[in-house]
Amino acid sequence: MVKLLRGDIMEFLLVGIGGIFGSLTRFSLGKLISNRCKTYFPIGTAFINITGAILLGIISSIGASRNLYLLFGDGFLGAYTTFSTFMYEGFNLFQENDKLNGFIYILMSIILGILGYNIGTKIGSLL
Amino acid sequence: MRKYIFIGVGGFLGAILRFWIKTIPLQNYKELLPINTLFINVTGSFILALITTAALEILKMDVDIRLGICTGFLGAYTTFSTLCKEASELINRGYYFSSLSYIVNSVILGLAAAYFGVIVAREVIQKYVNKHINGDESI
Repeated sequence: MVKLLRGDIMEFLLVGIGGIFGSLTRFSLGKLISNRCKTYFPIGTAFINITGAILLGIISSIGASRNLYLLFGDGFLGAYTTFSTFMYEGFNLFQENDKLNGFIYILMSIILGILGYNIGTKIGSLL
Repeated sequence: MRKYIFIGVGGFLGAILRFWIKTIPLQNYKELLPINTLFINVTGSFILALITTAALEILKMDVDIRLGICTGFLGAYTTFSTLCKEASELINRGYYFSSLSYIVNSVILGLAAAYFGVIVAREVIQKYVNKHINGDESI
């Protein structure tokens, strides 16, 4: 069991605490966006995932300490962004025979996410 | 308030489980694809679709518990930002094909996993509920 828990408990705690705030922020922000924009296109998840990728780019390139990266990168941003909801919503668009929107949703999220991460690293290295 | 506690607890556990799986060393794995993250995202997509479908269509699951498991635990377990980071790092190191392969595999397997989750919920859980809880012998 001790061998199973590579790394120390402190690292797991930092990631977990980041995870609490990441998932609560995603939930609150997602609700806010879907209340403001009455569209069936999952704009909330797209916004969250893309901003999360930009912020991960920044935190990865500002020379953050390991503990700060665990808390904010692996913990907060890992939990703030989500892949499972992204896939479920994408699948639902395909299932409801809205293939074009499903395709646009997935392609747009991936392209803007990768672009966002790289823009984030540029911003971070300037800071 | 209750749902925020459930989502927070789910997020705490989901993030830790992801971190734990991500750091498992694969001794004989020499490929470039970050297979730990791929595994996390695909299994998370399957379970999210399974539980969401079961909760909305079959079982009368408490809304706060569903939010805790799906939005909290599975939302924090799977990650999009790490996927973008790993794909970008492959591109920046010149492994364009590996990066494309990683993204395509994540999306295709993720969508397939969501599809199987919905099917398993409708076929397996629905039949189990009908047979053992509703006592329907006709199945």
